Amino acid sequence: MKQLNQAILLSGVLAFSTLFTTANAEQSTIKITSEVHELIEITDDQGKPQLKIVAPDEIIPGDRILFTTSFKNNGKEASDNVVITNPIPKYVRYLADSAKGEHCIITFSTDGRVWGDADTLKVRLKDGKFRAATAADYTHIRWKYNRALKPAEKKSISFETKLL
Amino acid sequence: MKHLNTPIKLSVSLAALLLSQASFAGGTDAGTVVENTATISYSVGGSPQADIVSAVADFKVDQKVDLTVTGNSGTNIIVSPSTARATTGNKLTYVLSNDGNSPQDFKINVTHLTTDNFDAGTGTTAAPQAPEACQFTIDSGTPNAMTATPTVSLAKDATSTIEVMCSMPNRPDVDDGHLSTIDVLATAVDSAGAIMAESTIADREDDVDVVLADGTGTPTDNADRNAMHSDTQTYEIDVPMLAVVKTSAVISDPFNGTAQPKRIPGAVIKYTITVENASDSVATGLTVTDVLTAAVAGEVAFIAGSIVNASGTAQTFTAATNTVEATGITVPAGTTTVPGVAVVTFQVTIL
Repeated sequence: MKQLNQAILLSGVLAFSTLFTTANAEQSTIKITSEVHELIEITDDQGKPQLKIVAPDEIIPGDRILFTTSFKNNGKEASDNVVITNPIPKYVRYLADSAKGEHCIITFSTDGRVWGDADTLKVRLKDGKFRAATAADYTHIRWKYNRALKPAEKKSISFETKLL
Repeated sequence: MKHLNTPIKLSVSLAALLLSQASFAGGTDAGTVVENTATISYSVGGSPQADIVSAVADFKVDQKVDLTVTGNSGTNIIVSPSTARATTGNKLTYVLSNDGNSPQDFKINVTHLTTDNFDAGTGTTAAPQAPEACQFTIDSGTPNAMTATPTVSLAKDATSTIEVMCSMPNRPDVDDGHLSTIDVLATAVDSAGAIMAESTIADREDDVDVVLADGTGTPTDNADRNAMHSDTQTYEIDVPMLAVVKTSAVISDPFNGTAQPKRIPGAVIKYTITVENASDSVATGLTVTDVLTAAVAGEVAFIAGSIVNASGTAQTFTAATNTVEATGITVPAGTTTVPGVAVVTFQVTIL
């Protein structure tokens, strides 16, 4: 109990119950992995165009790039309020409607501060007026996973871009 | 979540907006590393945990080799035969554009096509225009002979203007409508002058590979993705093919009047000068001059004010030299079977 009391002192205002879970947080770490792939157009057996995911070996301006972020709960307890924020990398442009994530609410931002969905987000023009933001305006994408991430559960989100 | 609770103020950083819309024709520079990181925030049992940032996922932008050569004119360049190389109208202009994503050297080849009617800048006839071999300049630099293959270095998205100048020979085969086509081929080369080649090594995520992305040009560049591009421009010889015919008819004589008049002293003779144009181009600014040798010899007398120059702008008779002159004549285009025609008439009296 002595040790626990010290922890309370360190944590200051935190309530006891909160402290208890915080103490366990080191074991309930989420592992997050970001990957990059190129999407190339191929023709399938039926002669229809399909996108194939390949390693990003030869990427030149105009190519389509898929960014994937996966997150896994390595802890012993479920995690909630999982939010993944991904600034759109420099030199690429987000492709409209390409952000995907199961059980996720996806919002966008044009400055990293104000968030909204594709229908409500606006940008201010030089003359002070507003216009609807387009995919090219987005600087950040945010996924809110609206379920609890159970222990050992792994999910992934993705978005596509075009190299400028 | 904090951001979502913030009242939505739509104050957008203009810098961020401009950045997001930045775009360049050649694209992102070769060798640029594009990095992506994601940040995750979460709670366990309702208590927020420290954010976790993913490792960087990145790739290196490869080198796109792309170029276009574009002739400036979509139609043939109309030239006159027997003209000097320096003639303003005898210039063909091509634009070479570096559409790749890195600085690039290009070798320039300028050639005559063999599928046309003649080669501009060649010929043996000395007069009135001695043949001057074709030359070309790059960005108005020192003229190069057709056999030269200079190299031009272009930054990403930069262009270079190639101008070809040829004299037009004065030869029997350089006729109206005949064509001479000049091809300009640009080839992307490396610093050693070797043609850029596509990387054949697989899987080099963090190295700059070469990808050829050029399109197909004219027959000198018969394939896409070969580090070459070309275009042609064509000289078209434009010669108004003119013929002049002079005829005479008796209008009246003092005894018969206009009924069956005969060419006797006192009779009025009408001369008709017909200019025929058998080419498909209009001839303008023609002057018809006729020295009345019969008047000089005292056989006929010009009837004042009798010149009719319907296709021209002015007409005069100079009594001192007995010369009829009709100027500003326009002869419409025609064909060899139905030539365009302009007519000048005047009358004299037989003395």
